[in-house]
Amino acid sequence: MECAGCTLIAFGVPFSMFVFTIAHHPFRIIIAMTSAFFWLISLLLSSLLWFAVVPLRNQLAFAVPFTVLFQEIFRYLFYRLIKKAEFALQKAQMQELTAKGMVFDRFAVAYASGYGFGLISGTFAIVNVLSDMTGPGTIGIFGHSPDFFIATAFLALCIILLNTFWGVIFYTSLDKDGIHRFIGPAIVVFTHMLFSCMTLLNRKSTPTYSISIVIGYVLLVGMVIYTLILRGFNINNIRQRLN
Amino acid sequence: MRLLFLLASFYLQNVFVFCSQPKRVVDQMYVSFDHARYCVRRLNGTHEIGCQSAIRGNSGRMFMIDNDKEFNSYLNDNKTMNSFDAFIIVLNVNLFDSNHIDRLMKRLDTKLNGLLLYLKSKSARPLDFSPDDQCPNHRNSFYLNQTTETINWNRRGTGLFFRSFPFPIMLIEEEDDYQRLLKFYQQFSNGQSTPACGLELKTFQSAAHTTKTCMRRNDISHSLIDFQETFCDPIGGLNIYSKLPQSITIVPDQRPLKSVILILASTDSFQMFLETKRPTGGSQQPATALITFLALAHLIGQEQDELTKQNKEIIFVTLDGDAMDYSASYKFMFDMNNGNFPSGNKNERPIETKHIHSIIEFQSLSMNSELWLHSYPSKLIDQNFIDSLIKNNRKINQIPTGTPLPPASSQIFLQQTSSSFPAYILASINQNQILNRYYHSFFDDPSTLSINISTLEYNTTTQVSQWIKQIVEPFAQTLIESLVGVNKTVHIKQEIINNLVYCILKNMNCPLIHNVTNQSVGNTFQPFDQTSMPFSINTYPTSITPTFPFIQYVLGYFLRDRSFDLQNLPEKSCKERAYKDNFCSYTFVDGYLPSMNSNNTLSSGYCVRSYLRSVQSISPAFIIPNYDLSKTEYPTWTESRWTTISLRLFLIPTRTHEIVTLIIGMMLTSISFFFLCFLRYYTKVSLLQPSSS
Repeated sequence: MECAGCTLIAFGVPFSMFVFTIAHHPFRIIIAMTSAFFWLISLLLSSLLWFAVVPLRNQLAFAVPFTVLFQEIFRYLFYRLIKKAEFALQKAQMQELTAKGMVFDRFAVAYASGYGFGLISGTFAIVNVLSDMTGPGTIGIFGHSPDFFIATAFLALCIILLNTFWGVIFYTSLDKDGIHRFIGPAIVVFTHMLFSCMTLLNRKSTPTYSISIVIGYVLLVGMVIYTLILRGFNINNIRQRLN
Repeated sequence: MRLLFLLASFYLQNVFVFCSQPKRVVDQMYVSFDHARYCVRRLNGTHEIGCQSAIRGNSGRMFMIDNDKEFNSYLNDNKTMNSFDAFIIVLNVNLFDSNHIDRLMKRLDTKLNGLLLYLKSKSARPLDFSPDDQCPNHRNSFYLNQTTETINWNRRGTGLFFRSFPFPIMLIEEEDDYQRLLKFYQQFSNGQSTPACGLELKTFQSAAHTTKTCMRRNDISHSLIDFQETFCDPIGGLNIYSKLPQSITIVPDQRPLKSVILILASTDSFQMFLETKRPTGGSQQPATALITFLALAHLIGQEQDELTKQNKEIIFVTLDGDAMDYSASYKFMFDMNNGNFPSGNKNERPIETKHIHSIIEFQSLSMNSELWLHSYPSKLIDQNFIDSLIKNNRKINQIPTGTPLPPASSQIFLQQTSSSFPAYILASINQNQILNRYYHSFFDDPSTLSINISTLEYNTTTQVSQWIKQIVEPFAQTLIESLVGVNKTVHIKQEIINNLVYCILKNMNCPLIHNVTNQSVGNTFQPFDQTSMPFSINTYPTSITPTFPFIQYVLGYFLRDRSFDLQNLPEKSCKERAYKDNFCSYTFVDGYLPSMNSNNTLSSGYCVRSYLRSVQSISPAFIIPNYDLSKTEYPTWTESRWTTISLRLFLIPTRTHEIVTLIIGMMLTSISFFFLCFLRYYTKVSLLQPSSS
């Protein structure tokens, strides 16, 4: 029962997001899958690095920043890939495609790519723990905090949502001109690094999960607000839209 | 997060061969007990016995009961009993008897999901412990349909081995395992709100119902899958027999009547709780009898010059499978009645019932100050033989021949031949009791023979080896006297018995076995270094057990043709002889010094000629074509197959914790679902609309 609960906590919201924003759009599904694949390659590279530096294998604090950097590099590489695809699509007969309903909506693509990145990242974070939860026991016999599973699930949810918004911020910032081309990605990298290093605090035997969870969700709210600002929302626009 | 990252990397590390072992969450959740003994399923023609768990294991809340007082208070505690659905009772092994188990099963009914027995420490072992029946092997005995009173030979027997339990039973005997269990139990079992300790016992057995059903299932082959799955195996190993090679009756010579004496010993036992890598018990029965048997074989081999002058032959036979309803004896008699004894060579004149002069058996020898000789039938026994036995060894008492025989293989020999020859059984069994307090249990280990196994060396003279010497020398003397008529004192070197005790009770990979075999066979004992001879139920197909090669080569060497030793054949001609001669076997060995004459100065090995036969000892029920396995004419025991056995301790999550997690998950999912649904249908956010791409 604990396993079902934690699965729902971690994947409930992303599932709803999938149903209502991605499921009906084959193009977004493809983007999400490809984005997930890029994340996997970044993980491969980070683990190659971890494996290569033999003496520091037990020092997680060494590997985490590099993982973050690799992920962001691959996010950028995916952006370049999408740019090439958009260029190719534009060279093809745009009218036919528009009639069929295949419009290249940049915002949707950024969103789908961030979602794909986030989904695979969250899955890797939690699926092993979920499979260990299917047995009859729970954590705690060696004195660990019994909130480990719920905290893991909430952190996985946070990562999925954060990645989604980071994708949007990254790509929309790069599409704009001027200072936004640097601020957006810098904020993404900075907050990603902050979040991951915050979770390093959870390695103590009796950690206070609330620190990293609260900070994670505060960052999430911050990302949502920044996304809205980038998309050109202010109070008036929101009121108009909702009516 | 550290664990999370390591887990993520672990996926990719699978590709690399030299990865270091990452930690998994599951290691921090479960405490594993790797040395636990377990109880398995066995079947016969009509019943199943033993224990069984579900395929994923049986788990439940752990409850520890140490003594009678706690037992009674637990049974009366309704509150605890109603608060959980499944219990695993951790019981002190001293409380493992039918009274306590019956009361526990009656009170808990389906809530009893498993039983874990523990032994607090080596010094806290119970005074007696025997899960065998009070009347062992009563299902197929000589006295089955007779009206003589049944004697309860094994008064301490609880009979629990032959009962069928719907839950698994395991046992931990290591003191540090018990301390760990106790520590966690005391840490986590205060009150109802904190999470409680739970245990999971996994001992899934493939066999079910009866032997007939199981053997039928073995033969079912699904046409899509090529290989058949085997669920159970018939029990049985090898019956080994050997004699002095000089006396072989070859067709068309006639074998004289009443010219064969059989000397019998068992090589198997059973225990309710077994673990493949741990000692199996069986020191008093059958190890001591087996060592006596082998020492007697050596003495007979030593005095072969006297014995070959007369026309009687002594055949030494070991039987494997008699602990479960005498399967090996039934097979032996079945072979004999069908002209297959001795087996192997069609030019050797078969031995039939009319050729047998008498049988002598060594059974259940414990190191007591007295021994008893049982014999049957009274009209055929040779009282002179018994008298001279007692005269040569004052410790032996004769049991009057009217009393029933104790559980022994001789019963079946007599039953199948309508008692046409006398049987003599030398045992530590008086008129009505087996003196072994741990009969057929794993507690029957060398400490019951006053042997300190950790300090035992290859040539240590222990009390028991001296005791065996004092039995076997007079016995051989009496045999020679009654056969040859010569009054000769015989001696066996104490060293030989010491070495046998060491090899059988401590380390099978000993110098003795390397000296009596060639190098390739000797190497097969390497994996069994520092393990004693296993005395448990063997199944057919025979698993890799060192017992049979050990007995074959030692017995063959002790009874070798000593005049052949002096021929000093080189290795090549030894092998050539082996190809040509169909009756005897030839092995090129280094030689076992205590057994060789002192004027032999052979340095690099010599050829040994011996007579040796090994025959499968599974019950005739599995050999006779179209035999109905539910009939009770022959025993039909089979043992189930199993894969993983595990015992784990963990924390059971509290109900509230589980429900809260689930409710939070469901709420998050439903709230987000409805929120997004609302946004789709009531706002114009383009991302959520189904139409665009």
